[in-house]
Amino acid sequence: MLHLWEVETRTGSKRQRSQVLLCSFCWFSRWFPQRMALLGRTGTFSGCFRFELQQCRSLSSPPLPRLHYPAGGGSRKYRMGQEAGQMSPAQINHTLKANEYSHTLPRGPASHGVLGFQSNMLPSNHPGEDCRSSATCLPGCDGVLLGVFDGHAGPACANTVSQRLFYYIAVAMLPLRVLAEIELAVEEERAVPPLLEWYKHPQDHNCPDGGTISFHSLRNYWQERLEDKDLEDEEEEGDRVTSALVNAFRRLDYDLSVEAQVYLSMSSPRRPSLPGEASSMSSPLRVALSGCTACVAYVSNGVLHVANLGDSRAVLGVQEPDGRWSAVSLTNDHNAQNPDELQRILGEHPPSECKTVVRHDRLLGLLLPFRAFGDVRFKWSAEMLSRAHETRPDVLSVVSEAVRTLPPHYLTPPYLSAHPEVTQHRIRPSDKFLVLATDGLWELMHRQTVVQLVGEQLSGLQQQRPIVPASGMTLGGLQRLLLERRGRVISVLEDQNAATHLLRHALGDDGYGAVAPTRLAKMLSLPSELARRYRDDITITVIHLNEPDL
Amino acid sequence: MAFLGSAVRRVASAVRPPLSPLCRTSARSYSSTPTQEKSVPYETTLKQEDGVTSGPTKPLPRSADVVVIGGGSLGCQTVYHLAKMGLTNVVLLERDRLTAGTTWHTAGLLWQLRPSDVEVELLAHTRNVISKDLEEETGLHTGWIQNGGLFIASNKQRLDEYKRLMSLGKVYGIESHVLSPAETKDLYPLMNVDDLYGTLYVPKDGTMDPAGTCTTLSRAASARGAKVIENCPVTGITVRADDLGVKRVRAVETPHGTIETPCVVNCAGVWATKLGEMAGVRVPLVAMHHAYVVTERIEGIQNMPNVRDHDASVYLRLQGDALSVGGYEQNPIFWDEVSDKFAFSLFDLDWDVFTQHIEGAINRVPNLEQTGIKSTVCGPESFTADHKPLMGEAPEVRGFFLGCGFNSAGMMLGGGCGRELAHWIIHGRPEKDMYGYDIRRFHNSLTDNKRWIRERSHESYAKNYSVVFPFDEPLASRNMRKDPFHQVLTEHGCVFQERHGWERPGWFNKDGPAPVKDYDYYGAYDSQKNVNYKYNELLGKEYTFDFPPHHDVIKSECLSCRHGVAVFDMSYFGKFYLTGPDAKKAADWLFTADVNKNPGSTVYTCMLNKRGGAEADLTVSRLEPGAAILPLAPESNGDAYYLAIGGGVAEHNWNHIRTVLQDQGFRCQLTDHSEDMGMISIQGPKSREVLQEVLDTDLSNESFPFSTHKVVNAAGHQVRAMRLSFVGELGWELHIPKDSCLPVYRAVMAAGAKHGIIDSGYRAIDSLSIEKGYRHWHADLRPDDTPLEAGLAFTCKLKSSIPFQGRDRLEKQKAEGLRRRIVCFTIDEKVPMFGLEAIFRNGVPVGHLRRSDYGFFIDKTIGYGYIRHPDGGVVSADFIRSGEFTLERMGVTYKAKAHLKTPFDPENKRVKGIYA
Repeated sequence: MLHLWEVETRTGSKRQRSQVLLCSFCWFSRWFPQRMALLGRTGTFSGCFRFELQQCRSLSSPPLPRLHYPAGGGSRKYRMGQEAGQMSPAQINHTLKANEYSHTLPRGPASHGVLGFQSNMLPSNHPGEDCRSSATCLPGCDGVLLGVFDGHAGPACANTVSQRLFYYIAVAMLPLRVLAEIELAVEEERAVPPLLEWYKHPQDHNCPDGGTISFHSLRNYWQERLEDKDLEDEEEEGDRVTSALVNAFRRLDYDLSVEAQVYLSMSSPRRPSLPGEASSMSSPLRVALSGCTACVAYVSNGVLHVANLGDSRAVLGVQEPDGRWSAVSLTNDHNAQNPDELQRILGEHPPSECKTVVRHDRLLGLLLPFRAFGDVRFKWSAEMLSRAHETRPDVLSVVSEAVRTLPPHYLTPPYLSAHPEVTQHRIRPSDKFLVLATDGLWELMHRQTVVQLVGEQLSGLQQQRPIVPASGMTLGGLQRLLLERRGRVISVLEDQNAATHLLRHALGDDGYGAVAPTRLAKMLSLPSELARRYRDDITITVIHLNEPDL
Repeated sequence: MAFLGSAVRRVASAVRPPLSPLCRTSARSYSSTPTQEKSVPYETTLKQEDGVTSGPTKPLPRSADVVVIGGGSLGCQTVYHLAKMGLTNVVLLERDRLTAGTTWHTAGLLWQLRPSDVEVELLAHTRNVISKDLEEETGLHTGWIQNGGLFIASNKQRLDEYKRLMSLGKVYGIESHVLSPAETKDLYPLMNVDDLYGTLYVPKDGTMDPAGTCTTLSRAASARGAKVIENCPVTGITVRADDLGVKRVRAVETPHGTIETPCVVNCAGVWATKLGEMAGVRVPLVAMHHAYVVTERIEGIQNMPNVRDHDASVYLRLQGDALSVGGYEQNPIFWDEVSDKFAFSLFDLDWDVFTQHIEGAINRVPNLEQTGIKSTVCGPESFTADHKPLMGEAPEVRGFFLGCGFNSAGMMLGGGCGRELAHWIIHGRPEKDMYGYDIRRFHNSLTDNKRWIRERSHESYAKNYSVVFPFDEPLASRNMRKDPFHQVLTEHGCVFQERHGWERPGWFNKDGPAPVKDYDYYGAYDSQKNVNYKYNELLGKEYTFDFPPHHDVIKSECLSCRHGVAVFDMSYFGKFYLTGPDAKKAADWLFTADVNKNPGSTVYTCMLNKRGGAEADLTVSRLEPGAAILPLAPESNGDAYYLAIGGGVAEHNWNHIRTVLQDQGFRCQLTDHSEDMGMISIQGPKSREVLQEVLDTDLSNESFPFSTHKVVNAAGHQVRAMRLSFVGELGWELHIPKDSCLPVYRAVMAAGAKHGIIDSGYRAIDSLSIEKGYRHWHADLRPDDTPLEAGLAFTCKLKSSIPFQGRDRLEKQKAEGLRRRIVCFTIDEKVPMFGLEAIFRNGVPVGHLRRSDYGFFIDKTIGYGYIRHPDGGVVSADFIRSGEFTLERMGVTYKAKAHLKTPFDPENKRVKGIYA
């Protein structure tokens, strides 16, 4: 327990110093120069990076870093073209739509200003390391929660966070009175009212461990909130939501860490693990050793909060009075491309480390995102990590060979934070939708293009929506209206789901804004060992806020 | 933690199998949400006002002779006719209230004239029931309004088709008039007649009322003892195998109890597929949105006839002082997820789909332009692959009858079909020739093929108002069954016809291949339309009621066969073996002819139903017992028969034989080798010379006489050679194991080259066979014709004492004399006929042509039709000889010569190889 507290207090104090809350509407315009064809995210790495390849394979996201392909890469493409040639339009659609999910919320106060959402995922890793969640908070905290999670060093952390985080948020936001009722119900072994109504695709993950450990942790959390009464009711609504989101994120990360330590303390080198135990996805150690970013939107009473951790993004689609579309970023990336973030990291460690904290744009030369859930390798004390290495080498080796040793220059942990940056935004009539997506999308497509595509698709669909003739309209009048409409609709859109529409364009872009079916087929039929070089896992959720203006 | 959350799970679209380009339309799920608002133009519907279902309206009986499921038009008509025919222990179960599914919102139009004699008769019966019988029986008015019907023709072909209908109507006493545009304007002053070619006015057509009709039917049936039970859904059908392993219906299960019954009738409309699944029965239909809109009041429209503008695909139904406008669009919306809770419900109308009808309607009645819309009615209707209903006993389960898939004509056909269905149930077969509606018309490999059902149903729906031309073929879902010659014949320019899923050769195009392509939905749903589609262009050239442009090509195929030699690919034939301990008994009972001649003989015979009607004609070859050399011979240590049957009716024959075997308890095996063997027929005066080079056997009359068969060697391959002819020439059929087909065909073509052998197709067979006077089953030989009436007395072993099914009826008919019989007619004018032309004797209608074609050898149009005595007396040879006959084609009368014997080779010399 000593180690545990030590970790907690140290992380706690440091984070307080560096809190960045963007409570008012603001956004940063940044542009990545990275639409370099097929070369992964930035394409800026040179050959000198190769020597670190093996070391960073497991923790860096993406795991296979950007190799610098010589110009002769053409032959590779040709080979793939042959394999891809056989994919029919039906197969393409089948692959693209396999993870489609959409939900329309009933009109009325319970929708909290959200019309509905559409989501899709396309894995590149096997298994995919991205996750997504969507749920409505049931009475008490009232709101719609949607999130995307980009895992690294395996899917364990992302899976767990995607299932647990919303409960933490719900507990963080619920009035103490409601928490007390829940506690009483649990105490008396009565049925507890559900906190969330989930919207899940059949392929989305379910709670893997039966929820026992996580339930105890969650209960501890609300019990502590109940004990800590004096913090209640001081803040304004917006601040309250912001701090609840921050608290929920940090508490979950803290619990993941504690659960892993408890698990370690109960293991011993003499007791070999049960077969399969170490490799179990839900093993707390496995969860804590892997990591994930998170980008979560919470919509309630016409106000949007986005809590972001890492390099996924939330972009708002705004329709200008003249009908054109513009993109507004509601998140900042937490990585080396963000100067503020770089300054924050450097400021948290002694000047002597300024050359080693961030190397090759990575944290300690290893990790791309500067904030993440899990990744205790960057959070625990060196002693704690050494102990882990001694106690459970088996578990560690399952996660990765590289985890056997401490990161280089591991001097003043923690290096990594789970403190989210929260943006608050009051939804205006011109705000039509919000796109949440993992970096897999953003490295292929600029946010303006993303907003443009979704916006035009929405308008197109709107125009195709069935009309209900006004009373008193004559058959002749109706016919003229229908003919006019038909002239406006350029073509039937292949995708009803905006996320699929984006995926199709991101992968099949012919360079002129249209989808080249052959290119799309190639991208989708890449063999698994190659796919990761050309595209990351992509997860997109498009949240519809207002009907587009025609 | 799971208990803290409740999950809402949706099936993702991708979980559904990727079907066709249509998947995209089904994603327009907004239109699949039912609107609950009642907007049909009827004053009364039978919807229960409280909306609460309180259990069955009557207690369920423990058992019943028949349980009819579904209280729509068909269910009510069937139960009414069952009761009327004396079967009173019958029950009708309706899940909600009568008419709740689709009947309640039907437009209820009744037209009396259709391009089919059977349909004309069915419609006439419906009209009788609702306009006369029911009122007489119950004293209630069904709501029938006789406002007349008006068919619009915008071009010559269309008016030609109407004239054909008019001629047919004369045979049945249906009054109709072809009107000029000016006459039409007088009749219907609000109509735009500027673009009209003419119209057909049928004064006694009219409009039915669904609620009124079904309530009255239910009353009349109940009065005779039938039980009509509403609010009682069916949850299961108990099916058990009997001692012989035959699956039979045992009971109907409901939440309110089980009814023991040997017979279930599936009249469940769009839900019929689900009901079929309960019993393991396939019901090949799809549900689609079908809509009409009701206008506001139109001054001056009262009492106008209903209008069907086929060329605009629109109908205008009189609705008091307003009109209902509906039609058949090119891109109907499929209803993929048929809901169980859809009583008295409608869909939101998709105006973008409906818009095509508005234009047609406004063009026809310009006042509509300024008329408002009162309501829209868009409901589910079931549609089938050929736009014909599904009826009869299901091949899968005995006692499970179908009465569904009515393609939005359930009210109109309900009376006639209800009566036939009742007859079918009580007597085993319907009274009329219902093969066109019989589920057996589809091969069993197709009835669960989703793509076939969907594509064909779409094409049939979109072409519903198209002119029915004689040589048209479907474009949807082709190439389902291909024989071993398909590829090589395609290369030879073969233009294929579709029969029973098979591609069979129609004729051979001289300028290169015309293959059939994948279906393009005619470009609907944004599918890529086939371009440079030669096959489609060739079909289009035949859209005429004149001689087709390929008349000369078919002529040369025919004359090559008559003067030289031609080869016909007839591989689509059904090829069955009948073996087993009771095979001889079964053969005696099944076949009208004595097939128990020496092994090696082949006999042409009929199979009859219990009423003596011809259910089939086929050839039966008696085989030597011995070990199996499949597929050429089955294993047999006793009696074994090889049955060769026209491929289009193979499923029907198969089921007829199976049913007879089951009913008689014969221990036999019937095995199907249709797809294991190909078959070519080499016919013509020079066929012997050609084949003598290919076959290792003596083909002289002495060693290989007519009507015999042998297993012989052909170019190194074993084949069964059979000396037979479907065209009236010297010739042999070669039944060839499929792997040997191409080598044998090549050897035949090589040997025939110096004799000018040619490929030939079924268009030629049709012409050659009618010239020779051979029958085509389901044309000039049908289940409502006896072999005696059809001039096939020679196939009946009446001189022997061997009993066979239907024999008693034939004997009775022979003793009493024939009251109708087939007659061959020829005309001297060079005009084509296609069947349905009226036959007049001394100016009095006595029948109509069943089948007609051009005989190239005799150079005349030939037709066969059954004639009656106007007084109902016996039709003697003298009656025929003494009459002056005329045929009426499209309103024009042609003098005709009646023949008692075929005008071509009446002495049968040519098949015996005697060429003078």
